[in-house]
Amino acid sequence: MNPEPVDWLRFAGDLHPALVHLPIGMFVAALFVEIFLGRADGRAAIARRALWTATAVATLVTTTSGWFHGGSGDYDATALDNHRWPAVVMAGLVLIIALLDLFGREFRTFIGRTVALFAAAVVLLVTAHRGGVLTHGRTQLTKNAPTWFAELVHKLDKGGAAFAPVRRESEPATANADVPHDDATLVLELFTGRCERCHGPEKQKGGLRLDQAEGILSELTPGAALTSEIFRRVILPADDLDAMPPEGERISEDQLVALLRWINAGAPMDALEARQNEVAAIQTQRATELEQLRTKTGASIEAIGGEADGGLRVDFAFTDATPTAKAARALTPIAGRIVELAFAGKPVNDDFLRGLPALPALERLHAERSLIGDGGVAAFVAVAPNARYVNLHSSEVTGEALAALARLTRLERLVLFETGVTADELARFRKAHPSVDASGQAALPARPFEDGGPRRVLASDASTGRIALLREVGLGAYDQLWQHRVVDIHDLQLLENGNILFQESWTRILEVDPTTEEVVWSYDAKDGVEIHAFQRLPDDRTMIAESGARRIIEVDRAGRIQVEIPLKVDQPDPHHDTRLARKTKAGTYLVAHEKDGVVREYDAGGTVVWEYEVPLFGRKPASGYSFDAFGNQVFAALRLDDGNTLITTGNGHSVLEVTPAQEIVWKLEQDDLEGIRLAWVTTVQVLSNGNLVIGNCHAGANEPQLIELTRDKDVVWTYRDFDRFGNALATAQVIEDDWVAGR
Amino acid sequence: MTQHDSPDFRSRTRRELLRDTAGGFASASLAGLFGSSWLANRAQASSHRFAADQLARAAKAKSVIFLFMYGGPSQVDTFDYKPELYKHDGKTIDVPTFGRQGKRKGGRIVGPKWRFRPYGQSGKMVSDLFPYLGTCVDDIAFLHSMYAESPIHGSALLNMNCGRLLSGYPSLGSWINYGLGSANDDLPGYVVMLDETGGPINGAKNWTNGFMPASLQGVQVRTEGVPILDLAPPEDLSGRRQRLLLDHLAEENALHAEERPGNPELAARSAQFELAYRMQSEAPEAVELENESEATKAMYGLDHAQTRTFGRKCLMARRLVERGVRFIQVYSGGGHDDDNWDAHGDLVKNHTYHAGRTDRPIAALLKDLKQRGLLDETLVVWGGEFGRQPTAEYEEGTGRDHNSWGFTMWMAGGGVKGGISVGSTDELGAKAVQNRFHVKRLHATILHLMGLDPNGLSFPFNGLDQRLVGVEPVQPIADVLA
Repeated sequence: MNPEPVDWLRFAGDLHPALVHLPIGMFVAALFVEIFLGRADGRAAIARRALWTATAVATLVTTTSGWFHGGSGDYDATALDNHRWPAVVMAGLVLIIALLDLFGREFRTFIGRTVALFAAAVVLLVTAHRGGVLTHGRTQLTKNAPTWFAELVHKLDKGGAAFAPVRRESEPATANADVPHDDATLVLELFTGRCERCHGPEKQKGGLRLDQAEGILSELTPGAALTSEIFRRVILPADDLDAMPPEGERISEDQLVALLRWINAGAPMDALEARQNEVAAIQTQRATELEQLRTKTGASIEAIGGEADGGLRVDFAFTDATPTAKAARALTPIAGRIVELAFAGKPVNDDFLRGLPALPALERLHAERSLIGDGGVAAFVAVAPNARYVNLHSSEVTGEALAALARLTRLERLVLFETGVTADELARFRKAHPSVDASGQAALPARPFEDGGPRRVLASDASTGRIALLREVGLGAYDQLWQHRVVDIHDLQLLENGNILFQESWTRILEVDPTTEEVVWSYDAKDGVEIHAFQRLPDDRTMIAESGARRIIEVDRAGRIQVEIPLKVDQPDPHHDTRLARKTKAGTYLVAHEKDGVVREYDAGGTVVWEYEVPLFGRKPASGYSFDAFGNQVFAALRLDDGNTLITTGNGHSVLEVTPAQEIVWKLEQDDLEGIRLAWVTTVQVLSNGNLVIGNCHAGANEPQLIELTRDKDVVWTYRDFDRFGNALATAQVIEDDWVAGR
Repeated sequence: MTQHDSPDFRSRTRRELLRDTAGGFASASLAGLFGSSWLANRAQASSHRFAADQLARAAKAKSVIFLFMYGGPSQVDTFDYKPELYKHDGKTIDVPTFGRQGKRKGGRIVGPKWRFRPYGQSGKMVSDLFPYLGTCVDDIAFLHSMYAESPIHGSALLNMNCGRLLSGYPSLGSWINYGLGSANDDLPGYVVMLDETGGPINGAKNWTNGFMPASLQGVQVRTEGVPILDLAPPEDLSGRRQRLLLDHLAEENALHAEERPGNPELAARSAQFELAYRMQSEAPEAVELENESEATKAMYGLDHAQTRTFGRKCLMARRLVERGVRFIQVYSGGGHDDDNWDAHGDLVKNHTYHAGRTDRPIAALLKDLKQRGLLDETLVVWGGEFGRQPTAEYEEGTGRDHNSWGFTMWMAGGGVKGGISVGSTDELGAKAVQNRFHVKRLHATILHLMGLDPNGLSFPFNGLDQRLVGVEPVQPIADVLA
């Protein structure tokens, strides 16, 4: 017999993959020589010319062999062209460089050579990459690359590498081990799982049906996967208009390989059909098995997805059956596939769990509202070591079950609400197993807004003759809870018992129950006396500062004066002797003397123990009430916990924080707040969050009457209401702690 | 591509034949009642499917509780924090809106009427309308960029419930029960609880089965008095006599149906009789709230007049979830005007009222589901048919007009990530601008979490394979999937 004639062209072609790296190496070497020798002449130039000549020859030989290799038909035509033509250009460029170096001596040819050199380097990169794509797949460069690199490659080379790395399909689980996973199965899965949605009985896009042999065979050439349309379409990059499937994930590599091999094996349709029949038979057998089990156990047995493909849920919850040890044992044939076991609300005891076969795939147990106890839990843990979710709420388990549950290494969620597990035991378990979300009772907060919710505001204005208690229902929106007529007013307080202590006039103080309007306490001063401050004390006495009489008194419920302390006033005036006065925690009295422009602190014996004269800061006093007035008519002084004193300066338009040594450590001035101008600064209050609320009186209808600011002087809340109140809102209190949703 | 001579009609006929006669269609209509999985049936009927398991994907949720805030809560006053908007209060600004007053080019801004404060690990800003719900934000995924097709209540409700603006299409709960079947044969798979002031506009169209078998429609359950109307048998109809009557009726109906193959209503009718019979014993137990502990009742706010009615509904919803009901819709707000969240007049009054009635019960529902381990498998959805505009509707006052161009909904539990917010509206909260989600995306997400393929679940009607999400493929909102 004559041997087959040797196909020399194909043989030459087959050398291409072996040869291909030689000219690349030579080109790189020549590149180095070029960089370091450049236009050098003499012996170095001889070496350079020799190297370029050899590189040109190697390139031409390799390109030629590649041309024949491409003709073998083993490659995708598009991808091949993407490699072939840059290669030809490359060969041409290298030839030009070699010729220029051999025959050119002028500067011009050196420039030409350099340009060609750079061009060749770029073309070489493209050619080499696309060659890689051709043989190692379109993701060869990007599959393990960081995303930015994959994106860059994709951007640079739309014809080649794919952006998205192909995600690997998860391994088929053991539960499906009886379904063969050979090529025919994978191909069948591909057609039924992906193609049929658009090329099946329901839709025939492009007139094509891939659920029938006729349609499948029309799109492929048996034995030649690489020239088959169907294969070309599925390996196209995702952004190609012809790519299939047009959306969703690309077809897995396993399926691609299976499709390639199946077509190359002649696309045997009988193998597909045989596999389909096998699958159907297995399904039928399984269905029959399940049906028998349903009858036997009375449980609802459903196929669910999940990690274990083919997993089952066995649920007794809504059936008439009560799970028994016998039913548990009956589950043995499907034990390996049970992912979820549920008998919530069923009177199931530990015997059922003791009867269970090994459940390696079990992830979820719904045993809530059952009679399961610690023994049952231990038995369950022994057979289901991979459980991730265990619900035992309202069952009989106690803290003893926790030892067994701790052995579940994959446990993520454990529900122990309304069990015998104590809060301490649960806390210890949580600490020892931080990866487990173990929960007992989940309570709502006892009250909403633990940090102090929407506030109430108690404010008054003699110019509108009104004191009112308001509830903030929104930003700038208030409901009025209570109001009362007043003639004159400089002080007010919401008491802890819910009553409101305020003054009707300079001589009359009232305590009123706002729900009944009943006056539960009152105090009347003599004529010629004006009251500008009062305070309910913890011992139920009321401290009252009397201007004119120049004294502080403490009055009991019956109206008897229990304490009387004379005040030191340099410039007496019944209307201006005092503004606000407060008894401090230390038992002293801190009094703002308006006319004197001084804050004085008196001890229980009436001795002045501390004094601070509000400075004028070099400005001349000016009469009036609004922005242009100026003076040191101090309105309020507030002792802070650290011993400093907050002072509002009235027509000084400022707030000062002063140390016991009379040093100013913080100051708020007239125009410190963005968009707000201060006029007569009256009250100051420290909120639980450390912010200050100050009163901005006589500032006109364009300015807020109350301002909450941080110590950094950011305004976080304002109150401006010229309907209820007017330009003389001198005193107000913000109440933080009252809110029950909408009630 | 090769053109085929003709579609294979034989195969299609066989499929339809299976569906209509060999229990296929009948079982579709009965799926919600007999606990059989329709998808499994369909997979078997279609001889070509490879694996039925592929259809029933990994379900994250077993039940859905849809808390429907009828009337349209204002997003900028609840969960969509717009600090800029406060500053513009009272100013007239050019911002296009589209409400019941039609399209407008701008209007007077109404600043948010509540303070917002941060809650939980996520620091989510929630308005003071929802101080209790604020404590649950780490379990909630907020969708701030919802948009719907209509700013008018009637059509927008249909849009949210049935996926279309027009009547006649099945509601979300019907689709879910069609796809999954009921887990509990003794209770309906789809329950609707209305506000005590009445139903929403369109009434039963919002829980209709549309062109699907009637057994898939929502069943109205009441929280006070008789839970299901007309369910109790007459006194003189003893259990045995009723059974005999039903059996005879079933025989007659079967004869009737034999001559009329392919009529789903006939099968549904028989099934409804049977369901009603079983519900006579089961339903009262399911809605018996007295068995609940005092602590639980207090948590839902049953001890306060303001929260009692909605609290009872939320508590009942949890009990129905425990009993395998697939889809429960609870309406907050009904009737007209300020009986629901439709705050055209006094925004503060309206929203304070409705939030005050629902905040604590909803927070209690989330906490209670969580402490019972049910939140992992129960998807809670909150929202209205649309939101409200940042501008005032009238010259005076705080009322806001409807806004379907952008609004907020939220989901919790059942395979949803907690403590996240996706999508956003513009800085005034007028229009969804980033990651915009059509109502269809919400539907697709709910179906997906229930283990159904939103683009695969279909019902043949009028020669089309009808889908809840329509013809074009719709993807679930991947950002919120845990």
